[in-house]
Amino acid sequence: MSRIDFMNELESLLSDIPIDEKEEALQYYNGYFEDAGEDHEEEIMKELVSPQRIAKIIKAELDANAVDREDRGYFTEKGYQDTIYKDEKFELVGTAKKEAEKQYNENTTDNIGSEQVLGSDNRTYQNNQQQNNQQQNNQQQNNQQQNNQQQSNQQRNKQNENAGLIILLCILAIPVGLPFLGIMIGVVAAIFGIIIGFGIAGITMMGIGIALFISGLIQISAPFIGLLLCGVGLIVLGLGMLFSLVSTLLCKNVLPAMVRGFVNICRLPFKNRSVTA
Amino acid sequence: MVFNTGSALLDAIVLAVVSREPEGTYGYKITQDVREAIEVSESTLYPVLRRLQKEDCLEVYDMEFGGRNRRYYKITDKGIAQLRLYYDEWKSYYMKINIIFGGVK
Repeated sequence: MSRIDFMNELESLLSDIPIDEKEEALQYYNGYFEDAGEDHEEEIMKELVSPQRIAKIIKAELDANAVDREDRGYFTEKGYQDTIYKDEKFELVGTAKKEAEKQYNENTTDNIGSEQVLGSDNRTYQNNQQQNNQQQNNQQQNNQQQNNQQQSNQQRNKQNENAGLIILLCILAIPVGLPFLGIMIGVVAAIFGIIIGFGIAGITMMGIGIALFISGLIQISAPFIGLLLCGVGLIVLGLGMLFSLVSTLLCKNVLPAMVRGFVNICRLPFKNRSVTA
Repeated sequence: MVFNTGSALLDAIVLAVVSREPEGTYGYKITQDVREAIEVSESTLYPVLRRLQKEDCLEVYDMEFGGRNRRYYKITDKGIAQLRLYYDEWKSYYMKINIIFGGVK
């Protein structure tokens, strides 16, 4: 393959990337060949391996721009040639490794090409490969260990999850819960006040009734007014007795029920927590 | 060489190589210069140079040479700052490693 063929093929392979990226890359490699001189053309093409590989490297870099560079992996100097760029030679970590494995399956023909080209350097290359394979195995083991740890962590987390969620809910509920609590307390106080008021009114009315009855008895000499006062006094006394009876009933039954209900509402989150813990 | 090289170190080396030429330098020469320190393939540096250019650490200009336009790379102020940062990191790194290796005979 001549240099012209090489560049033509590279151009057609880069037809699906932005035009400025393509022009930039073609200019770079054209200039590279020019600067290296005709004598080195063969040598450089050997080292570049194939237009396919160069296109892949350029595209990989374009794709990788979105990925954090530290996440892309490390490479040894011997294997440096291509590490970032996802050939089988490089050790890779994290997401890049999966992609590399995928690409490896897709591009086995390419890899055969690179092996041929590296013929003279074959021994070191194979060593590297072994090293890298070992490192990959180690990484896989590490990954497995990490997975195991993560699993046990997850189990533990699940147990605490509900309690944690409820605590979180309580914290988040504070802005809504505080006014709600205030309203509840207000309502209870109002009801309490009304009941007390009823009781006091009842007692007062009983007192007034008795007083009216007595004043009626005193004025019995004027029968009409005296009897009227006695009668009204008795009615008021009766109403007062009814009021106080109702309020004591309410005090006895309704208030404790309300207090109990209120306490239960307050206790609700703690109850749940004790169930899940 | 048995030690791994991170991509940050490669960036640092490329920036250092380019910064040695105040008037700028070109792809082929950069590759040769980087190869004095670490073994890189001819295909490694284009993406690195392109990225550094996009990150405004390098700027490019074309100048006529031998009847054609040659693309020159020149370090920017941001690139110099970045290189200094890398250099400080590297110094503290190798000094710490040296201290640990100090006991090896």
